[in-house]
Parts: sequence; structure tokens; C-alpha cells
Amino acid sequence: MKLIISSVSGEPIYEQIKNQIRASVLNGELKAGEALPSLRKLAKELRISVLTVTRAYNELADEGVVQNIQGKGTFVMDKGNELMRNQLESQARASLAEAVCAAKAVDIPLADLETMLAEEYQKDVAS
Amino acid sequence: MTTATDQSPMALSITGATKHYASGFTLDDITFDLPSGYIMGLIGPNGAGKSTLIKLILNMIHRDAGEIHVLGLDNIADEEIVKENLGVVFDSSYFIETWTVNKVEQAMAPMYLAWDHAAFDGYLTRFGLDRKKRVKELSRGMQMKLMLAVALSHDAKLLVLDEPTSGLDVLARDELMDILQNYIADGERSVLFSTHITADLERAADFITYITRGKLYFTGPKDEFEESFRLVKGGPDDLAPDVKGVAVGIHRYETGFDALVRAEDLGKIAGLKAGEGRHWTAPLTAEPASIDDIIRLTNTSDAAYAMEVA
Amino acid sequence: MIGIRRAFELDVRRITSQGVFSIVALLIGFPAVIILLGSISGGVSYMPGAAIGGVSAMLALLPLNTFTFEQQGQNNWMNGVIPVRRIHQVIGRYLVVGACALILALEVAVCVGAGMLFESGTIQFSGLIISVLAAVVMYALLESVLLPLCYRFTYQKALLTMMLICIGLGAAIAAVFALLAKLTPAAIDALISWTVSLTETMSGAGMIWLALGGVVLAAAAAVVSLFVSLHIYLAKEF
Repeated sequence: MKLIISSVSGEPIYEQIKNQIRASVLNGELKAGEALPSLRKLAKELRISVLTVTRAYNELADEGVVQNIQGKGTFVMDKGNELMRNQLESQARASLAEAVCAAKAVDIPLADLETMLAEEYQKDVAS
Repeated sequence: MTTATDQSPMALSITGATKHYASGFTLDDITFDLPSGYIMGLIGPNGAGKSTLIKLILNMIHRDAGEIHVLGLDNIADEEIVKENLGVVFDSSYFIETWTVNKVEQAMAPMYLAWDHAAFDGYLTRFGLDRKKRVKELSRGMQMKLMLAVALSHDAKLLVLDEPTSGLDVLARDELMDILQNYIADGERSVLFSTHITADLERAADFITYITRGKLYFTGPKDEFEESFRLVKGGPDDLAPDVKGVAVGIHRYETGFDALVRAEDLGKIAGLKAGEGRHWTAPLTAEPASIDDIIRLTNTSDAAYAMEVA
Repeated sequence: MIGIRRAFELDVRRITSQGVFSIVALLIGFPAVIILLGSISGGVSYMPGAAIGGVSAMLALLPLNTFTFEQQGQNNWMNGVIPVRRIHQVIGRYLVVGACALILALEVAVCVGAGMLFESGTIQFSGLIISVLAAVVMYALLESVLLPLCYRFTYQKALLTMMLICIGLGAAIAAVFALLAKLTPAAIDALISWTVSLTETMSGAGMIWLALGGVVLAAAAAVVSLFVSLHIYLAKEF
């Protein structure tokens, strides 16, 4: 798994770790049941605080992506992949609902909105 | 998840430590804990009381009040056991200058039950320290490494370092941080480490204890420290009363100002809200504060006043 | 106790910081030279005095080296690092002085014994023991004053204070005698004749009592000195 920390991005380090691990789970690089690198090992290798890694792992566990098994380590949840997909789907749906709401407020017809969506979809390559 | 603090014994626990000096300086009621398995940075400007605190831990000066426990043991009642388990590095060498590196080992080895000759030898090789060299012939950085080699060679559970990086170049600082992170990797050893070079801490430190003017300003996880403050910036005419009211420190310059504000007070500043979502139209901007920003701005004269009133 | 042993060892290392060789050379060389001179000149009366004086001066300063080295750089910080209580650090240092006193006893015995051999071909053990005892008692008294001074002041200041004390003491005694001579000249004569008669009439038993008194005095001085030093050092801040 690739994990790179940028110190100039302005994004907190624990967020960077979370995002990259989440991406690895999502694209199947990290399989269900697979162990994440140990907290202290990862902190040592990335030369960051143990607490920062702890926080990233904790928050991923709260999201249901990974699971902490005391004394053993942190593992990708069985349903981690699926769960995250669902989460992102509902996030996308919520954002769309917001967009529709705004469109209705200024009477944008559905066809125009679909065009806008298509444009955005093609433009967006970053994520 | 087992987080930092539960169950594991505290590597260092300081409660209400107080020291008055005849000169008028007082280290006032310092309280903090360092859990086992972590690195804590002790920061503050020169003269803030960092060395005083370290000398209190080592019982080199007498405390006027409070309690200090190392690995659960009282630092005075159980001085011998505590010091068997302490590795200490000062900002300048405490060895006799005419001693050779070899003689340093001969002198220090009988001081500790758990002296590990092989480990010491390994560090000498790693640091490029020649056994035949005299202490006075070593550079400042090398003297620090010699103290570090001694500190690491008797199975100490807590390392206490007072400004260890002040005489070191970038490479040596990097190496030191590497060693410290390796040292705590087993989760049972800990490091307390005073410095005014905050770059050392930005990454590796887990906890920060910030002392200024003899008082404790903050102690807790480093991320929390940085996140609990924001730097608000604006032009010279934008310094409204609401900013002044919540700022813990302000630096004014001809074309503008920097104000340090607690994150929870950010909502009270009107200047940040105008043109919500489009920051470039707001008169003020808020950005994350670095450790240096926090130290710098909490030591302005305004901040000194604010601290006295509080 | 392990703490005292560690303090003792560390102090010995401090003393020998400049190398063991020079110290051993002095400790062996000095009596050797005395004996050599004695063997050439066939024994002379000044020999025991010279031996005691020289060896005492050397050994009086030797343990004080611990203080000079502590003053160097930040070596006193080492006392805060090592797992040895302050009380043990002080006791360890007094034991170093004790060891020096033993060496002194040995050296004086050798020198004085050799002197006696050269002079008369035999060794008078009572005289030998008295010489050794006198040297050790004087030494103990001197160090008992010097050590607390060194704990309290810097080494240089301590030596200066010691010198002033000696000068002051000498001046005080001289003043008392001068005063007595002026006021009651007869008292001085009486005092002198009393001392002379005392030494002339002193029996073997008397000598033993005197020696015993000296030892008790030295021991008492050492104990008081230790407590004063402890009092000073326990309150000290680095």
C-alpha cells in the first residue's frame, strides 16, 4: 500500500492517512481482513507522531472501514469496502438533492441540470 | 481502540510542581502527565522554566510544592530506582573534559545495574565516536551523542533531554529524531524533550507541554495544540474590538496584524463572516497556526497582560 | 551500600582524571626519594618531619581534586544524573578521604621507619606509632575543616578561607601570648615550665592516653564535619 505524507498540502496529516487508506480499501488494494501496518511502525517510518496515526486509525474504525482488535492490530473490515461504497453513494445522493433544490429555486429545467451534471462529471478527474 | 492514556502507567506525572527563585522567577504550579510509549515536547521561549522543570525532575533543585512521579515512583523517596530508569541528556556535556570516551564508559558503567556494554559500543560505532578521543576534543554535537549513548545504554524507561538539538545540524537532528522514535517503538519507553527548535516537534512529538513565564499554558496531544488555535490576519484598520476581545496575542505591523485566536472563539469574529463562502471578500482571514506562531503570539506584551488578568 | 560504593568509585575516577600514573609516581616517588636521601646521608633528624610534611600536603590536596573537577564544565550535573543519593555521595567522598588517611599512615610509617633504621639500625615501634598517629590526627583535623568549606564555597575560595583560618588562629595564639607576656610575665614562665615538666614526667600510659585523646578528637571532628557537609550539600542546588 502506498502512503505518502505531504507537509505543504495544508491538509492535516491524519486526514492524509485516512484518505489514502480509504482509497486503498476502495480500489481493492487492501483486502477485507488484511492488517494495516502497526501504529508504531507506521509512525516511525513516516516519522510522524504515534498519536496522529492512532487518530487516523480510530476515525477509520469509527467510519466502519477498519476494525481494531486489541493486542493484534488493525484490520480492514469484512464489509469495509461495501460500507464505504454505500456511504459515498448516500453522500452523492445528498449532494444531488441539494443541487436539485437549488436548481428548482431558480427554475432550472431537468434537461439543463442533466447537462450540467454531465459537464461536472467529465471535468472532475481529481477524485 | 486502545488510545494513548488508558491503563498504561504514566512514564512521568507532575502535579503542582512549584519552585520559587530568589531572583523573582517562579515556576508556578505545573501539572501534566506523560503516558508510557510516547514522545512529549516541552516547549517555551528561553527563560520560560523548561530547564527548571527538568532539574526538579532530577532533584537537582528543591521544589517548593507539588509532586513528581516517574514510572509511578516518587522522584525523591525512590531517587535511586527512578534514576536507574532515567536517561538524561543536557545541552552541554556533564563529563570531565579530560576523560576519554572509554573512560566515560568506565565511570558510568558501575553507576547502573543494567549497563549494557554491547549497546554502548553499538552506539559509539553508529555515532562515529572514537573511544580514544577526549571529551574536550569532541564537537558539541558529538558530546551530545556521547551523553545520548550513555542514556540509551542502561535500559532507561524514560529519556529526559534538555535542548539536545541546539548544537546539531539538520542531519544530526534528523538522526536524533529517528533514534527517539525507535526508542519508543516498543510502547513502554517514553521521551520528554525540551526544545525551542519546533521543527523537531512538528512531526515526531505526540504530546506538547507549553510553558511560558513559569506557567503552564497547554499540555495535551500535539494535534490538539495546533488545532485549538487559529491565526487571524487582516489589514491595519481591520483590528476590530471583537478581534481584540478574543485574541490571546496580537502582533501589529505597519500593513496589518496577526492575531492568535482560540478555535472556539472564531465564530465571535464578525470580520470573518462577511461574504461567507467567498473568503477573498472578507476583511479578515483565518488560517491554521503553527507551533511557532502560537509561541510567538502568546509571548507578545498583550499576551503577557492577558495572562496576568486571567 | 551500593550508592556509597558508586560515589566512592566515581570520586576515585574524578581524582585520577589526569591519569593514574602521576599520582602513583608521586605517592611512591616521594618516600623513595626521602629514603634514598636518608641512605646517602646516613639518616638525619629532619627526615621524619620532612616526610610527614610532604606526604601530608600531597594527600591533603588529593581528595579535594574531586571538587575541582566537579567545578569543571558541568560535571556537578553528573551528580544529579547518577542513581546515587546525595547523602551517599557525601559519605563516599569522606571514605575517599579516609582512604587517603590510610595511605598517609602507610607512607609516614615507611619514611619514619626508614629514618630510624638509618639513624640507629633499629625501629622503635612506640615512636613510629606516635609519628603515624600524630600525622593522621593532624590530617583528619585539617580535612574536617576543608571538606565543608569545599562543599560550601568554590575550591579556590575554600582554600583561601582555610588559609585565613590558619593565619587567624596563629595570630590569635600569638596575641594571647603577647597579652599574657605584657600583663603577667610570670604566667608564661609558669605555663612553659608546666608543659616541660609534663613532657618529662609523662609515662608510657600517659602517652597512650594522649594518643587515644588525639584519635577521639580526630574522629569527633570527622563526624561533625560530615554532618556539616551533609547539611550544606543536601541544600545545594545545581
